[in-house]
Amino acid sequence: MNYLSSLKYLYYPGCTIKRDALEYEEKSLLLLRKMGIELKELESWYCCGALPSLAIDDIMSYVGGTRTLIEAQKLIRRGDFNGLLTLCPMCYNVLKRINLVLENDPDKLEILTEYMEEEERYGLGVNVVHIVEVLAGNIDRLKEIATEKLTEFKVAVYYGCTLLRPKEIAIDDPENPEIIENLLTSLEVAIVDYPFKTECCGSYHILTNRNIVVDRVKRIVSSALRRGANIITVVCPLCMYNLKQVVKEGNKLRAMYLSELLVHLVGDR
Amino acid sequence: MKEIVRKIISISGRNPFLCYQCGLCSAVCPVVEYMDTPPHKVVKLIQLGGEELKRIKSIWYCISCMACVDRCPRNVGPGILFEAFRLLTLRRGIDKVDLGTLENIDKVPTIAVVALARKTTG
Ligand code: SF4
Ligand code: SF4
Repeated sequence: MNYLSSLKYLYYPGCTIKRDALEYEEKSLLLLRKMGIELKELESWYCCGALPSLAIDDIMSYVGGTRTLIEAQKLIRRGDFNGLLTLCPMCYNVLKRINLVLENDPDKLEILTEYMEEEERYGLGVNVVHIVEVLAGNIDRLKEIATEKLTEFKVAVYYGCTLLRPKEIAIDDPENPEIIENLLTSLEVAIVDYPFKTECCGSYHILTNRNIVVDRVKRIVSSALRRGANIITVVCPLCMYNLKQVVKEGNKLRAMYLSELLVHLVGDR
Repeated sequence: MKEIVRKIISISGRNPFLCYQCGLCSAVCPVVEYMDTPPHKVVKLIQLGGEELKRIKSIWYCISCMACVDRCPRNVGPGILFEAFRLLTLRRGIDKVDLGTLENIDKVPTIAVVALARKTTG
């Protein structure tokens, strides 16, 4: 595939990918490799913290994410990387929001720099991207290698929250995202539109109030079903886990990571 | 101004007095039906600064999904006020959830555990 210009990203997996979503990782890495996109995993990284603190005086909560960004900064200086790629939308969300806060508030960056005196200063420039953005930005590469037709699939796309909110870090229009639908349509996959694609799945209530998650997911899933979907595609390991509280093996509707869906299109070798 | 209201404002950096009670935050909140007091009403109670504030449980149902924060036409950001409100308890060293008692803690994705710990323990 030497006709393609080289594309290289650093890769930040985060704890959930490595513990609970290995198949999501496997399919994503395979897909990107087939697209001629090279990844280099960070040598060391820290938990992002999953949800950033919303308090204006809580600088401690940025430490882990900032250390990861500094690690990326060091490698970007040495190599020719287009940015830091994430698979987990919560990792994406936290790192983007840390970048945003530190860009807008130099005092916070100063305090962090003082606190992490063993680290080099964070220079703000690390471009954090989510795999969806990289896929959507390289549709031509996907088209080139898409050999299969998925004529039997009718796909409802489920975005969840963290790729779209807060709106300052959204990968697409937060009220009506179409980035994944456009990607799939251009690969001739049939899309089903439904009103709940950006509705929250209930998130960490799965630990303390499972009924909330089940109610939320039922609403999302039954709407997708009514519109005729047989696949609901997701990009977040927590959305996936929560959807699977309702969507079971052998149901009319299957839950599938976007990367797996695309691997069906391009073949798995 | 009541001490509790002053603290919520200083931790959140948001101004609850800008709220004009349109109710949009409650309309878009994914967990409103489980709350004892819907978001717009919590904001009203913060404005009034009364004793009822201490009894509100809604703030522990809020999962910081940012739906209300993005849509609030007055930039009040109820979800951000809620975070400050939770911190009034958590910063005293009082945990709202005992992680040791959760049955499914090693089955759910790690992000759920980290997120829960971030929002409900000190
Ligand atoms: S959306 Fe904003 S202005 Fe409207 S009720 Fe809620 S806090 Fe008040
Ligand atoms: S941030 Fe909290 S209060 Fe606001 S919509 Fe989301 S769950 Fe509801």
